Amino acid sequence: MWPGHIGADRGYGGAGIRGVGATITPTSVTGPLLAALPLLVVPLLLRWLLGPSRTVRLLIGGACVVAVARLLWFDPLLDRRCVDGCTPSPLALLASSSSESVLRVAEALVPVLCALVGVVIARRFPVPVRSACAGLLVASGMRAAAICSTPSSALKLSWNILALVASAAAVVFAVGVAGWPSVRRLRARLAVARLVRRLSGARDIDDVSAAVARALADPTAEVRYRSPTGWVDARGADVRAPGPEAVEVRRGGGVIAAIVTPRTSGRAPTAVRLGPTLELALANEQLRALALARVQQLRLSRARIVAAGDAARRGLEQNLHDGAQQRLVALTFELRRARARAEGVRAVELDAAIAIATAALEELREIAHGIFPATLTEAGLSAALHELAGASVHAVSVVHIDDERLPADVAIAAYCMVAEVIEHSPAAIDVRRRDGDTLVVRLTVPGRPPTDSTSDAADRVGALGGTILTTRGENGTEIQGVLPCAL
Amino acid sequence: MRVVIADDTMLMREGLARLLADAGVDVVESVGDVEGLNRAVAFKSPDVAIVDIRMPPTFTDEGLVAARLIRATQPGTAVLVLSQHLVPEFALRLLEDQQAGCGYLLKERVGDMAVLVDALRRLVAGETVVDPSIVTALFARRRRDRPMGMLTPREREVLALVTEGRSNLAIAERLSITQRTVEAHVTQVFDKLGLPEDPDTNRRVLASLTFLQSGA
Repeated sequence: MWPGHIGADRGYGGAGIRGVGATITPTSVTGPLLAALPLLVVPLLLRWLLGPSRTVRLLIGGACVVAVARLLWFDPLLDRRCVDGCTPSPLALLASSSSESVLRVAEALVPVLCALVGVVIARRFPVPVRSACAGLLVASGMRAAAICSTPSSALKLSWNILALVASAAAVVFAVGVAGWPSVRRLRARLAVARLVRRLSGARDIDDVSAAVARALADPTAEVRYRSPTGWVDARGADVRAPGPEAVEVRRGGGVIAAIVTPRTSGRAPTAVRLGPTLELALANEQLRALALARVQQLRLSRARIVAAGDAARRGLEQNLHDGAQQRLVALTFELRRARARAEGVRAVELDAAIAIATAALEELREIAHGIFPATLTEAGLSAALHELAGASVHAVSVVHIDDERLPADVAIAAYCMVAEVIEHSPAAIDVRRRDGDTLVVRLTVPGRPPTDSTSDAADRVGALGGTILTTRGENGTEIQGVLPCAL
Repeated sequence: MRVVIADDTMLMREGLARLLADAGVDVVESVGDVEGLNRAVAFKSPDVAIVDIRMPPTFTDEGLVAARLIRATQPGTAVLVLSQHLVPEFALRLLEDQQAGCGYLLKERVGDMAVLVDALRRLVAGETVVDPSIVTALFARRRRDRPMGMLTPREREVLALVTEGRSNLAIAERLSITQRTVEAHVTQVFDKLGLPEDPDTNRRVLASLTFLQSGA
């Protein structure tokens, strides 16, 4: 099988021809070279001629398998004829001792030079080709050492074995290196297929991130999305910009997302291969994340507007309380003092003045209360709602009100919700704290709900991230406000 | 009688002091915050401390907290809490541990010399003084929990006739009012009794049952 042996053993031609044949086709070089040939040359040629089609890839794969199998199957050391015929130096075939040294050197140098040329040429070729050439260079050096060493057959044989093992290792390595990208591509493709299956079943925000993490076999992997102002997570919350180890997912020329794998940045290449397939899913997620971020921003800005309005109204109420109201009270004191000393017509006049001042005070008190219900901040939601219920023109019953201190904005929202409803309709009020961080305001009214989603209360509840749900039931309409109120 | 005044506005302190002087009451000290109040009460041992409910720093219920503290630590000093507007909850909180020697009045109410002198005298005697409007509000709250109490006499009359099984027309003839007025009364009764419009129930029957159950 090995041309070198054929030339040396079968004795085609004369001794000189056989010697030259053995020299230019040393066993250690030709065998692996031939084994590697389909692997290194045929694929490159096919690829160059036909382009990277599926058939070409299949052919390359097939060639690789055949080459490796042939290399592993055929062992020249077990070929008795080879051991018999190869062990004596081919130079011994030449009787002439004068040319022996020249031929010895030539035989030792030819494969080394061939391999060197191969390495030089291969510098322009991919890593697997260069690796194989380097392996062959080492093998040729060993073969040369075998030739040049003393004609002790045992030593020669061990050098030959080493050369064979080295060249075989070089070829196996080359095959491995050449084949590895394909294996990885295959793995990535399978991962993508699994990912797509999972993504199509994803229902929740977390599912996409989880699917990506599973596809990368890295539970710490997370996806961040590009927003106009920075980066957000799947829920739209602001996050840090991803570091340089993160894999950017691009679409339409811009970065839409980044896959961050804190544990191992080495997994990034897999993520890169996932990228194109992920693009669509992640672009989708980016839109959702941006929408959520926008909603969050709007909610915060709405909360700020509401808070600013409340602060202004509270300030106004405080000014009325500390200014005009106090002065009016002081005025009634003075009028009453004067009245105590007055008699006759003057007394009647002062009584009239006192009545006017008292009425003004009463009116001012109502105005101040309308601007901002001071009871709410002074005595809490329970007191304020009882007061509200008592002042309502409709029949309002208080079923239950948890008497707890609440954040000011939550208390005001709940108050406004109740105020709006009982302004138009009789109602039963039920206000309870649930799980410590939620306030549930339940209003049961007969007939149709008197409030709508554009009301001040709806704005306030919305600004807190709460909801108002209206359901018609057996006992009229139930309006339920759920307000988050983490203290 | 010796009195200490605590109010964060000077105008009020002075007005009240003049009023008290006219009434023959001895104002031993006027202070603008809780700290000054506690000090004055401790050193001067007045008969009554007149305290504004809204004082610094938060201007919510500082006066109330101070009043409860004084009642707990200085048995010889009665407390009269004043406010621009009345909150029934505050009255309940003030009277919850100790009722003797505690008062809660609308600020302008004490302008009336007779009311002021009477309140101070009763407080010193160990009685409780609560603004009449608070009493009204608390009673209204109790009434709210019993729906029958919310009906006007006319509405009760109409409901009684409904319970007898009479139609709106019969009730109108009986009471010499228009049928439309009867309808309005009946609707009002339904609202007050918390009976919503509902195709599955007969509200007249339910209202009658409520009327009978109330034992009226």
